[in-house]
Amino acid sequence: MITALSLFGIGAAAGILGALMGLGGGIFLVPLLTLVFDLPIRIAVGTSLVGVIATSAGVAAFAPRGRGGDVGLALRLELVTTGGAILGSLLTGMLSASLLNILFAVVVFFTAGYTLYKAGHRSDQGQPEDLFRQDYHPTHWTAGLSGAGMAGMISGLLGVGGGFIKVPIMYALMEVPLGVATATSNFMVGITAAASVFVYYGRGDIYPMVVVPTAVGVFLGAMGAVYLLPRMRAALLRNVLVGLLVLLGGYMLFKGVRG
Amino acid sequence: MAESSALEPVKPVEALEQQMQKVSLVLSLLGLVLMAIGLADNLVHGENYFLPGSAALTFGNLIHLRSESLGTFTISLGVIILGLIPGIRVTLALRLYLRLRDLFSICITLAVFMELLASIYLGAG
Repeated sequence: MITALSLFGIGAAAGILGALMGLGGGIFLVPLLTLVFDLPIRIAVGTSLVGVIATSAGVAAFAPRGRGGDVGLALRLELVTTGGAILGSLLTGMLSASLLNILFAVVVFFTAGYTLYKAGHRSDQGQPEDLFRQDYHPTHWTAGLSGAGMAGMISGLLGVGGGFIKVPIMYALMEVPLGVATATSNFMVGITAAASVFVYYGRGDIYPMVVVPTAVGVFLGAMGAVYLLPRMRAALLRNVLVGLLVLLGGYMLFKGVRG
Repeated sequence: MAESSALEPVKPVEALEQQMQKVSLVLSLLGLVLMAIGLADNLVHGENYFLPGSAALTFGNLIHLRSESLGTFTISLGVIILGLIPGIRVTLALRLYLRLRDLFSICITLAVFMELLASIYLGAG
């Protein structure tokens, strides 16, 4: 019973953070399930994929009107992301785990640094930041699509949703407001996870005892995040995102250097 | 004419958002409730709670209703329903773009849908 409640609690925490940041939650679930519960990585990834879909569905189900993300932008980026994910999953066996970890860390540090740089640039201009500003027009499409393709490739390579790259790309590079970028990413990570979850299901990597409490927790956590998001300041949300990216990048770099 | 101007028409994108919201709510609750009922049923019928436990039913067993316990069947069905939600949301977007005759968006959405199918096929292969 304690194990089930722990899985529920971890799921709820991942759901809140994943939905708030537009990350899906897989980036927190996979390390926690392997480290805390000593589960094999394939079961952790399979569970995480169901969790990412639960986050995406939870946000979609409870988001207030006009806060559901930019579907057109999501589909345009997802076209390249899904292609990148397919390519990444095909390349997985050709690269060493150390190289993958270092690559992961470099991308994460770059996105964190660029997000901070853009935030500083905007505050220099003295503009108050509105999370759900509607008068935006995505810019830098070539760079944005390239970044989305890279996010997809890294998703395929590392078995994560890739939201931690998609949100900074949309926010910092394409000038999409942070709240819209987060909601759009939540829609996108659901599609990316759906592309893989049936493969894991078919391979027998979905375990009900693990999946059920985790998924229920994730869904309720995502519901809570929908309530919290409009009440949060953009600066706080951005700083939490950057902090998580730095921690994650440091951990992956450590793993990569140690081999 | 007066009626149509008096009643504020719902914009197509807002209508899509509402449809996605309804579908996500109904299917995710259905999937999660089925999963929770299935787990409860397994525990009531004497299965011990330990990790990782046994795997969900294979596609073949699910389709042919072959399961040793109703609980495992219900959980597996719940996972499948949850997994279908993103694809259904893409299909809803495609339906909207078809109605709007927005050729560019139709092509993009169809391509995403095909990629979704291709990635499943490649992974299963």
